[in-house]
Amino acid sequence: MKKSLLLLSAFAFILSFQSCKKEGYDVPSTYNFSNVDYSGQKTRLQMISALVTEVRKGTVAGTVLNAQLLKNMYSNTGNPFTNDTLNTSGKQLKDKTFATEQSVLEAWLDGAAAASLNNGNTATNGNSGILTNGNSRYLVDENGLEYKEAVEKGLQGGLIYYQITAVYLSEDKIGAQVAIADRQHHWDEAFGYYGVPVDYPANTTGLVHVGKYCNDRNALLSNGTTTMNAFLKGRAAIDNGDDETVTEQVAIIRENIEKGWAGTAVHYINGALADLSNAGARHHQLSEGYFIIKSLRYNPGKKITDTQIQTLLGYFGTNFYNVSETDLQAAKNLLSTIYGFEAVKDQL
Amino acid sequence: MRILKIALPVLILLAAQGCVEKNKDNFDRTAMLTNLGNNIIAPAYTTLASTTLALQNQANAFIASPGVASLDSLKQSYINAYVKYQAVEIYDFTPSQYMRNSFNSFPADTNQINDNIVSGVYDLNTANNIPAKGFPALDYLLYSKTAAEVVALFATDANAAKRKQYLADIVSELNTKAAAASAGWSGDYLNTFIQASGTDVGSSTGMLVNDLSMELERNRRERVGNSLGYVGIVSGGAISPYSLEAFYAMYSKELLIENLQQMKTLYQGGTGTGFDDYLNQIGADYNGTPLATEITNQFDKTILAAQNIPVDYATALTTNKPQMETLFLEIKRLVVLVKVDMSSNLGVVINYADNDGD
Repeated sequence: MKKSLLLLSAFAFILSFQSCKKEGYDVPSTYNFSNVDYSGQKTRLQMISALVTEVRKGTVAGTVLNAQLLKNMYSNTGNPFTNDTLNTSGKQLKDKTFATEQSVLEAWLDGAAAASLNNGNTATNGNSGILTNGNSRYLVDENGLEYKEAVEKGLQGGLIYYQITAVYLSEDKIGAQVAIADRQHHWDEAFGYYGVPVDYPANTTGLVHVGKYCNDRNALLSNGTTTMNAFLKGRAAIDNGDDETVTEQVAIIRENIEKGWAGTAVHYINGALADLSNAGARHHQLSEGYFIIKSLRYNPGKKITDTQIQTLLGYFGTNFYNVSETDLQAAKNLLSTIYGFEAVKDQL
Repeated sequence: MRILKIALPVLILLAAQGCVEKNKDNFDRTAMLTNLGNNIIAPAYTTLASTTLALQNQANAFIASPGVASLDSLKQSYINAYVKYQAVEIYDFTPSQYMRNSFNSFPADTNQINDNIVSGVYDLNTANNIPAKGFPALDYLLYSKTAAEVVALFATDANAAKRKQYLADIVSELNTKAAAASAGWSGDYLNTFIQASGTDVGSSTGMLVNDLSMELERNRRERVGNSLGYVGIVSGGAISPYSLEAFYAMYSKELLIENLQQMKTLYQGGTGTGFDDYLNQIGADYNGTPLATEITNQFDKTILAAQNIPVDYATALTTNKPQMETLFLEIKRLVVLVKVDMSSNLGVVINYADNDGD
């Protein structure tokens, strides 16, 4: 199994260097096209990292988070970043977050700041505070949901995943009626949010956010390589006015990012099952999985239904102290059925 | 760093070729799995199920008539089941997956136990109740006070009836799950286990090596390290006797020794073929000596270090701390031999605690 996978990936590696001419035009093996620009996306990915780093400080006993600073970082108000290029970028996270999630995210930031006052205490059912696993510390709310994950997965889902699948790959942004320069730029922006290097998967240095998690599942699901190839093929198709291929690649990207994102949820459910008796590891991994599942709804091409998402969130419940092995097995099995992970669900 | 990233795929390819050569060995893994499944693993579950049934019978007798004599019988059946449980804790296969979470999450959460008893409303399946059930909860309920006081708590205390119910519920879960695991291993699963004879992720050999390594790490961390004040493998200072397994029964030492001996039995395949034979067959070497011998010797050294401590471990934390430290280090050496040397020689990927680092 492992050997054949390695052989396959070696083949894929070699094939990826050979340009495909089937369409009558070249599809390059790396994301190097004329007039590529996604600097705004790079900036926002850095802002997410900076905001998450700030929230993480709330796990240090005695360090109280400043709610206003967190919200200013979210909206890029009043030069909140230590990296001044972010301050003067003219970009922000808030206005790119799915509209109804903006106030939800700000509530989590306020909550993190309030809970940081309790970071000298162990969290218990009903009381916010700190849970640990070895040297790792997690700041969780009174129901055991981790603030850092609410913010990080909240933005990876409600901003990155949403912007790629629903905004920049929409007909309005990359459809045939859009001027070619805009089409190219919008496609680049979708790629920029994904967070992988231009020569992925040959190179995996600099993977961030959604691209990083999707890459972690690539060995089992091939989702990362497939997504990358579709980004390359779609951009070449735009350059050459091959509209049919553009539409095909949008579907492939939506399908495979969802596969990687959902596979990551199964990965964390497996972790929570294995660590069910370790509160810190359990609540961290439950939070990862919960907020990923919550964000699956943004993808217009999604395989999962809204009802299924509600069922899955129901298995987690509103209080993570009350989750059971049966609940998590049910969530894992439902996700595996929906996405066809049956053969690999225990290895994810 | 960049060189490393470029070198890594090359290394992976080379490593894959290394695996191809290693797997040319003609070691009969199916025969090894047949021995381990039939003669070691499945019988261990049968034994556990018989001891948890006895435990349930003794608990019912105690509940019907709480007294010092019936408490004593209950304690004996409890110790017997806890000892036999050590032989199965290592395995995380389908019929008994995650069993350690519901059977043996220590230290017990005594506040949660008391809250549950007083309220009388609890769902033992929820995460919050994991440290409020299983063997650690029984340890607290049966041993945290003198025999006369324990009897009074179950006979005349205001919450005696609720406490009896809680005892019955905990013991019932143990017995039900042990019986289910035993039935699972006696049935079709044994064939599934034997037929998964590769070394890849999900194979029985792969899972056993992972389970061995994981259980050894649990011994290092939870059965010894936590009580010594270690966080990971870094000493944090303050000792914590309450963190020990079977703290109230003062039985940590006996349980650890049993656990290590059972793991050694698995490693050696009892009197049949086991991992030591496998390592010898492929000529696994450790600095000039056979790796199989090195691991057997390290098992013996670790068991000896556990036995050499002359008092119970809670006492030893203050009176014989250097010996407890030695025990910690011997387990740590054993972990490295299994997790690194054995797994790489067998071409098995260690895939538990696959932490993303965040």
